[in-house]
Amino acid sequence: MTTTAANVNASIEQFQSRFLGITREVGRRIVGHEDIVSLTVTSLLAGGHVLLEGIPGVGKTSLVHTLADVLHLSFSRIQFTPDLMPADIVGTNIVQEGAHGGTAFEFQPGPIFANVVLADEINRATPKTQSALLEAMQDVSVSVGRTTHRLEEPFFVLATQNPLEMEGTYPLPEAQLDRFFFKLKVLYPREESMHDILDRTTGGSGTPVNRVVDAATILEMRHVARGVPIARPVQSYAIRLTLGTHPDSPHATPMVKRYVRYGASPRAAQTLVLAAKIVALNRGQAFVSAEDVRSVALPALRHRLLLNFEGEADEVSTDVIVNELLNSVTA
Amino acid sequence: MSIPSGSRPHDLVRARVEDADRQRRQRETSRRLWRAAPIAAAACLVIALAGRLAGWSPLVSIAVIALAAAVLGLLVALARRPRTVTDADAAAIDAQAAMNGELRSAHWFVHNRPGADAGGWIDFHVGRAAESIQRIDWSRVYPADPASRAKAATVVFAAAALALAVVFPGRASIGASVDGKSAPVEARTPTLAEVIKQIEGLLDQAELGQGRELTAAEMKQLFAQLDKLRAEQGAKGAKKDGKDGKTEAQSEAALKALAERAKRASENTNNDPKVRDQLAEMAEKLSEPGAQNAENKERDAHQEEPQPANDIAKSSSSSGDAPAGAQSVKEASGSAAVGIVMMTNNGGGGKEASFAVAGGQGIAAGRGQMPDLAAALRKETVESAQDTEGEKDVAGERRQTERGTATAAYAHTAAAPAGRGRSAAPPVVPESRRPALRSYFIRKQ
Repeated sequence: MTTTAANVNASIEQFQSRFLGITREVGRRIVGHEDIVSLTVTSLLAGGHVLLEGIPGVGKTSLVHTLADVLHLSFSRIQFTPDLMPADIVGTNIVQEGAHGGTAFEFQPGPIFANVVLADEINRATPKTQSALLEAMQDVSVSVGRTTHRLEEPFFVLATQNPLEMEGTYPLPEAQLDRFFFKLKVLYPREESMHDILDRTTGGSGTPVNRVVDAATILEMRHVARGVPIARPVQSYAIRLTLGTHPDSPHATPMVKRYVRYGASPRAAQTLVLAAKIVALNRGQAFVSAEDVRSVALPALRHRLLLNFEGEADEVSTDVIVNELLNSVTA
Repeated sequence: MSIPSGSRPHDLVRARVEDADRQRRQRETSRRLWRAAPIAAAACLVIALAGRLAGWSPLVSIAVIALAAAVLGLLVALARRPRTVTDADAAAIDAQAAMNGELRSAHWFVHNRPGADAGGWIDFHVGRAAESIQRIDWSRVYPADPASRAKAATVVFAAAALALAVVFPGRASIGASVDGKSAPVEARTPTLAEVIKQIEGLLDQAELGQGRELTAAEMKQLFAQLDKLRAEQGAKGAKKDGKDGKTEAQSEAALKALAERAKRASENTNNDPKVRDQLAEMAEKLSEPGAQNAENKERDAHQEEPQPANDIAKSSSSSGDAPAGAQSVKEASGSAAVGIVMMTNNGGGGKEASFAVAGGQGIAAGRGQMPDLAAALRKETVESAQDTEGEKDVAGERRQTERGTATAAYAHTAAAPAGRGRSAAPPVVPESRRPALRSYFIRKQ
């Protein structure tokens, strides 16, 4: 179908209203965290996955549950533990006795076979188990034995991790981290938000939410988002931001040169552009601005910087490094 | 509805962005101009003031003002010239118009079309950008910079600089400068009495054996002042007899007395040989009669009249009917040979021969016939040949024409004025030759 100016206008308006509908419904149950909700939906519409980091009890898991309810998608939750095995996630072949007495191996799908997967406390599982998600997150498929099983689109992984408890945890490998579209920090709610949380959770039954979009709608929204044109100078800005995270880059800031061992991969640039397109659509625009890129740079880059020993020893936050980069690289 | 490329929205965006860029540059230029103009004008004022104090030509100040105005004008012209709007320009305009990147993006898509897939999106984007751009009041985005204080300061400074350069007195006139005859501001010409006093001061030191060596320039200036004052006095004396004539006679007497003193001082061996030479020269200069000096000047003035290059032998004559002759008379005595070119006029009055290196009119009193001249020269040459050192001293003065052994001949020497007042300073003697030259000129006691 040829996209015309009139179609574009309708697509933008429809996208905007649907996006607003999702965030509004999530907001009925999740108090505060509007930006977290918005960025999570952005990631979903871009086809990415989100790593939510926050102290216990701030609503990470509730957010994922609510999102699954609103999206009218299949949902599964995997509680990551040290003894969790890859087969517990992707599934396994089991011997199944047939109706006529014969036996055969039959694939038993794991909890990853869902549209929305909550990988709760992902850093408690061993790297081997964590790596079970790699193929699913990148290729939306899992391989068991000689068979590759496609996962149903949209496939959306929301992982949570607790930054405080370090004992008995396994930091996510870089390859795994790079596959997360955004890393969102769920902060402690403000005092006024706390009143709302208490009102909603301590009285009566929970707040019901409506299912506003289904899988097909989400896929259509993904298609619309990818159609937004981006001018080369804006794209160049996203590239310069990505390259600036590398210590040997001419765009690197002093902090990057001092504290960063490895910078962001090209996936970061893809993330910046895709997310910026969705932000632009969400604002009702048919173009991507440098400001759109800036607005998503922090969640897109913060988990993709690998600090060196000095950075780790000085407990440098990658947020500070990214903010310095944003101030340094001109659009 | 699809809007094809090149249709109105694209052209509109292109035109509006170019227009906005022009306005932006003009405003920036205006801002910079009126920031720089008062400084430039103040600098011009300072230069004009310095020029006035230092006595520079007013043209310097005017040239500086003109140069500053030209540079500022050039900047304005450069800013107004049409040019391609870059992405950076578009980004700046976008930010100043608060268009959130729409103008910048649209401007890029107007000039670059990435692919047909996004055609609808791009057309829609450019169309909306065109609408947004049309709604913007660019005169409010880029308001004219009043810069009234800067303008006033510039006008005041520039006017003051011009006034200092042109209007106020105390400077050489512009007209003279424009004619190319502007001379440096001359110092006041001293009076004859002051010159005499100056010479007396020099002689006082010389008589004590502490004579100071004057530079060639100082000597030249002193003699030039002397000549000038004598000529002025002569002219005054010619106009008014009586008191002025008396004063002139007194001055001449004083100068002669100084000449005597200079001569005596030149013989004082306590002085440096160079000083002594200078004193001798000064004595000679001072002993010249004022009237003769004036006549020399008059003759020089006549000689300055342009003549054809090959007219060496044709000096103007009073009668005008007989051509001037150039003759070379050569007398040999022993190994010596002296040749002197004498210019005379056959129509002369048979007076005593005048002597000139190469032509000239001759003084009325000095004209002579060729036979007379030949006889006089022969006599002189014979006497010179018989001259013995120290034999013919008259009143302690030795003859100028001592017997020589060198052979010298002067024939057909080019005509040139030989006035003393016009003579150039001698060439500088190299340091290596200086001792030899000094010993050469030391007089034997």
